[in-house]
Amino acid sequence: MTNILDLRKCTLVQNKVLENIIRQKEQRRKDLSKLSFKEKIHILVQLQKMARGVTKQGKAMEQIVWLI
Amino acid sequence: MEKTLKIIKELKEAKVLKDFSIGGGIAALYYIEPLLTYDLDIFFIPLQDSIDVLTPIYRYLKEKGFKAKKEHVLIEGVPVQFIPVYNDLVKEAVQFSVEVKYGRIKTRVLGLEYLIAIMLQTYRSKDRERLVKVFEEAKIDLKFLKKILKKFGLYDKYIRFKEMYFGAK
Repeated sequence: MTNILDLRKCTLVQNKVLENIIRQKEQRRKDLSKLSFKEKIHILVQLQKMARGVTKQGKAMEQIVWLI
Repeated sequence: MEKTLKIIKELKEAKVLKDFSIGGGIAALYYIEPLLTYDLDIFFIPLQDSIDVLTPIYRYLKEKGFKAKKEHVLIEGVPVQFIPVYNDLVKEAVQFSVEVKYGRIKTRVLGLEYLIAIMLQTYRSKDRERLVKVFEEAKIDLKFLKKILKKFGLYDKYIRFKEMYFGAK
């Protein structure tokens, strides 16, 4: 069966700079996963604020931003 | 959010529902990096079996001044969706939830291994996306996970998922 992540790794091995960036991103995700529940919810609200500005097919998305 | 969780906790204390647990995107967020989601999913065990298990919850919340909008109730600025336990896996997951603290409030979140089993069962694109993140970022009790998956007939699906995304069993 085709392994999606192995395919990605094969591509990355050919580019050390990109590989390094990806590794740093993975580390950042792991660091973020260790934040407290409350800190994560604060980040979630920031993400909701950012996404509110995104439009879809010319219409503003009606997405709520949590009041916390 | 603290106020929201306090109101949800009150539903159990007031015997409007038997038990509850945070599920969905917010449960995933508890274990992995923050991800974008818009609602707080609350899986709950009703006090008694009936056709309309949501009515007592909606009535209680309406009396408190919270309004329902489509499938959500807006509680202190957070859209909350109440989902009755719909099969044995979800019911057991709620029963064996983990107690966590959010600020000063104690609440309940689905255990990681149960959350994985539920995502494997529902297996929508967003479940698969979250599953990959969970396997990359969270500390999983694989022995316990295997036990749950075998109990609920999900082990073969898990193997296929692991082969597809990680190339390993």
